Amino acid sequence: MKMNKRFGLKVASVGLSALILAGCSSAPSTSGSSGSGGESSDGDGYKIGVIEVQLNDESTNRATWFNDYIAPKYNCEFMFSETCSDLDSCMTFIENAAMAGCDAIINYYAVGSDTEALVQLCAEYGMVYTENGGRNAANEAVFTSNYENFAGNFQADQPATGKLFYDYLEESLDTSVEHGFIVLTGNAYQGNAQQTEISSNMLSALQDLYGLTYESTIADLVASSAPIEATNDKGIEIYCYPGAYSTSGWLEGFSAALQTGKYDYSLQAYNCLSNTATAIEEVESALNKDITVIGFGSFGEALTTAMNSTDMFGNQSVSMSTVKFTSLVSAMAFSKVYNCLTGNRDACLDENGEPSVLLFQMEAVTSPEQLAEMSSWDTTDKWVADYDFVDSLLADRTEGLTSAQAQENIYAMNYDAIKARLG
Amino acid sequence: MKSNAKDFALRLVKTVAVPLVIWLVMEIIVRSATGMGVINSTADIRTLFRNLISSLAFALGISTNLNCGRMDLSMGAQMYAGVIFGGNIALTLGLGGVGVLILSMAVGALCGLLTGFIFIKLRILPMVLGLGMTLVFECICFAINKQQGVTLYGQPGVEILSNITFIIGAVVVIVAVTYYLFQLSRYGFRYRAIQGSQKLASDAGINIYTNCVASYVIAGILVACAGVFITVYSGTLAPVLGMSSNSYVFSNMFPMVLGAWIGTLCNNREFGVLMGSVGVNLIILGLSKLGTSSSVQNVIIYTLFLIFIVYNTNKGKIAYFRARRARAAEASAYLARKKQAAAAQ
Amino acid sequence: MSAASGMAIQKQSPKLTLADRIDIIKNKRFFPLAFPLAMLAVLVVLFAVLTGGQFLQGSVVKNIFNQSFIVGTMATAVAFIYSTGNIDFSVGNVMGLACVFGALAYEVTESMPVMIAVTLVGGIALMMCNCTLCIACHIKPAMVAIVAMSIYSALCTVLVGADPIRVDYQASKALEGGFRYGTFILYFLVCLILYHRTAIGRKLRFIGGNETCAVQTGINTTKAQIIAFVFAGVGVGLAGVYQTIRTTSVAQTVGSGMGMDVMLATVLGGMSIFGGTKSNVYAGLIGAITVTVLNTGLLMLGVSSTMIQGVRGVIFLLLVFLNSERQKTLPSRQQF
Repeated sequence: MKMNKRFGLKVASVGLSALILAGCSSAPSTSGSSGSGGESSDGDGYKIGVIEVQLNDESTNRATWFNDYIAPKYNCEFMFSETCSDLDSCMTFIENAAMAGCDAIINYYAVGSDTEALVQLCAEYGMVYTENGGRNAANEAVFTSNYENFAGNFQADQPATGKLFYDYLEESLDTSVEHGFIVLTGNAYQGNAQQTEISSNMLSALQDLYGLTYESTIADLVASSAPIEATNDKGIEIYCYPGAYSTSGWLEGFSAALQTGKYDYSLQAYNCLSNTATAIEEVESALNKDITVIGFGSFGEALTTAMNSTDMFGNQSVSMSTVKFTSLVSAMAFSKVYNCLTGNRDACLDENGEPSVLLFQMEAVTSPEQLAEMSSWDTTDKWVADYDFVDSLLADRTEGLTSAQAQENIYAMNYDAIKARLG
Repeated sequence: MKSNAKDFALRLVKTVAVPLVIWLVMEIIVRSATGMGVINSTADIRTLFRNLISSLAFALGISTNLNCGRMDLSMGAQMYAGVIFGGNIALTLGLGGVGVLILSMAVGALCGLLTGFIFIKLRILPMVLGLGMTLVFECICFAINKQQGVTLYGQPGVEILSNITFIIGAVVVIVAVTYYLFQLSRYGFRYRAIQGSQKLASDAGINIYTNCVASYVIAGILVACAGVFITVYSGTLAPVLGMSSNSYVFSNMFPMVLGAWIGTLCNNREFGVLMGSVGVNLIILGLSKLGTSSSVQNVIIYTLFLIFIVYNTNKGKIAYFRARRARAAEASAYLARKKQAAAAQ
Repeated sequence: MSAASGMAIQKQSPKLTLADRIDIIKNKRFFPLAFPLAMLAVLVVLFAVLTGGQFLQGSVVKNIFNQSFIVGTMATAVAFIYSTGNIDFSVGNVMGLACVFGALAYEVTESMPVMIAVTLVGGIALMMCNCTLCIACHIKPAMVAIVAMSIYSALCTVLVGADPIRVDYQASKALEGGFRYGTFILYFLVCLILYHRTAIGRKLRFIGGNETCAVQTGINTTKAQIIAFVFAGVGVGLAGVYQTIRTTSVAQTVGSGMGMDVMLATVLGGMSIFGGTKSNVYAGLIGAITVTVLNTGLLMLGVSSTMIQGVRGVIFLLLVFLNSERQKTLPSRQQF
């Protein structure tokens, strides 16, 4: 009898939890829209949630710009996620952000075809959404479905990025001499939008330079989860090598591919310049062969070290890297959500009335001096995206602002303009 | 005396035979598929030795606690903490590669000491403590050097860590020191007594708490040492969150288990783990030559691991069935002989 | 005479120290349930006060339950395995691969019932694979888990490809209501009854407490383990269904790392991962809710995202320490 009582108590306790749970289910799914998410945190200012895909020096710099520079001036508050590397963690953060009273979400994790799911989730909580990604077949629906809370996307101008690689290769590469290329496609095979775009750009640049035709489509080559030869009609040795350096056996495989002696250019679509440097150096030494490294990078200790190191032939370990200014990209993201929050969503729409994608141009770095100069720009005391620039992207501070004009303003913030201002 | 030497030689041959067979099999597969061997250049030798020392140190680190029934899941995080803290301090002080190694191991020892101390004080299950400590260590790693971890590539004096002679020397030191610690020292005797029965050891007057903390410290030193060589190859060690550091513990289980088995062949666990690490790294190097994706590599490696543990767990039964079959054959032969004899009479 | 001796006995009886009193309370049968619930309540009250009541809003509570669902279901499921003294932290990857099977089935048939059925069967089948390796090959479940984690994760990568497999958004959202809550409550109640009111649960706890003794009393450990894995499989499959309908797509990385979250939740809920007589089936759910409360609360308080994990770790260790029985010697168990 005593036992039964105890058991009854347990069932009652846990059943209570279950009842609360069931009670929650009876609430209509739209109930969240009237929740705290839709209301401004203090009546005037806005609270914005930022989804970070990785926590590194770039995200630290971004947080400093948002918290210390933007927040006081525009009466905003920012809340940052832990690392979100899948859709579920993004959804969890969005839900938590809504509970914490956020009005908008800036997502730095490009979820590609799942954008619509996140836009719909934000809509449930009455939050504005923007993502670091482009517009493509996979997420076309979200641009055409007229979601009021979708501010559009922002990303690197991919053709322009491809052009940076193309220009560098055109300038440095003698196509009359036999060369081989290993393209590190990173997590493109897992659908990583940025790495997919950059890998595609690199393969396109080679296609244009040599006038070759691949037997497979570039999309298939980039999406392959296994290393694959990009066989082509000109017989140029091109090898797509997917995966991340942290995976067991990846560096060994990369080294093994280089040791075939077929490749003397390493084109890296994801940020692993310092991670591959030792493997490359050892193969150079073993084969007595110079390997040129160009690839995607970001300002920080790793790139600085890689750029300042030389190989056994006396060449820079990394010949060229593309970088971006954190505050510039963040300004685009901020303008997207801020314009929507202030009732100026029109400034986020293109000429067809659909959410626009704002583009920024990456910059090429080819020398340690140039890197040192550029690294010193986007810091606490001299941000690339200063108040004037941010204002030029906000409709309530720039009269009659359209998305096209905002795009022009962003393109105007190029290397020369920044150098002239921050020199 | 002669018999001892013969026995030693036989055990040595048995021990070395395992990685040798693995190399032979991989060589045949790789050569027939690509026309190249598993080891083609100095770069391969360097890669093999560097991976070998990191596997060896990590596997020994895992087994230090695991043999006493303590599965410490925080060893990956201790490795991160050791290398990121120790490495950055050494680089700031300009101590070069050896300094990086020593300071990383010192910080690893501190991490082990902290974990061990908390363990004997709180006495919560080691695996549970490991989970909690992983969360804490990973978080601490983020707090320093602006979340950039540590970059060893391009740093002055660090190239010595890629020097084959240095690595071989380090391997010898690790095997010799751990052999002394676990087989010959007072700590080792007590460790093995505790391994047999903690209760009996305690009743016999052994301080099980001190020995436990010492084991955590040794494990911390070993994983930090492994971390330094991992970082030397990958250039940078960036901090991770979400218990991702556990993957190092899991991925080094194969060399540890294989090594423990080889260790039984030569009555020397440390040398066994060394041979186990050589074997597993030869498989990894061979598969990388085949140009397989990391997913396929994982499937192959872990399937081999599975096959091995199935064999290792059931080898007693296999031996029993073999012996039974042999007895049956002997009996049949005896009966046949008896029949023949009867027929002859 | 007898009265005098009685007095003498009373005089000699030892005085209980605070530690003794705590130990007595800890040994009470209600403690494993009451303590995690009390801690959960303390956390809720603490966050409610610190957020000025915002934490108690209906939407926040609903959100916490929604986020606890998947890990809670899996943690309830693995209680069957944990109670036998075995550990399986591959459940996250099992769930992931089951989701992939279900999503692939949906891609072919475009039928949600088929997706649900395949995910469920996938979960059970994969757990049975683990079980077969444990029983037929006599490998410790923890070792099987290490192998299974890697192989299942690699299979997810190969099967999914670059683009996630999508399922219908509207249909998924429709299932998020009654279906999800209904099936969860049903599963939970069945587990609760089986575990606490039938011989199955008693046998499992007995095996976890002392396997040799259990065998000697005639308990068929093989049969008990199979039952444990089947029930775990149902829960993991169900969690897979919840995962798919939550995200409406299945990517390569689905479920990775979730096995550790499940273990964390189970322990936080007051259950020993080494099983035994004090095991219970509701610990996982309470633990999952506690983890979500911690995450949500800390985020609402504006704790830095990089610090949240560390704070979570310290609180986790503290709660586990307070909830666990301090052994006289050092706790250990051969899991491999």
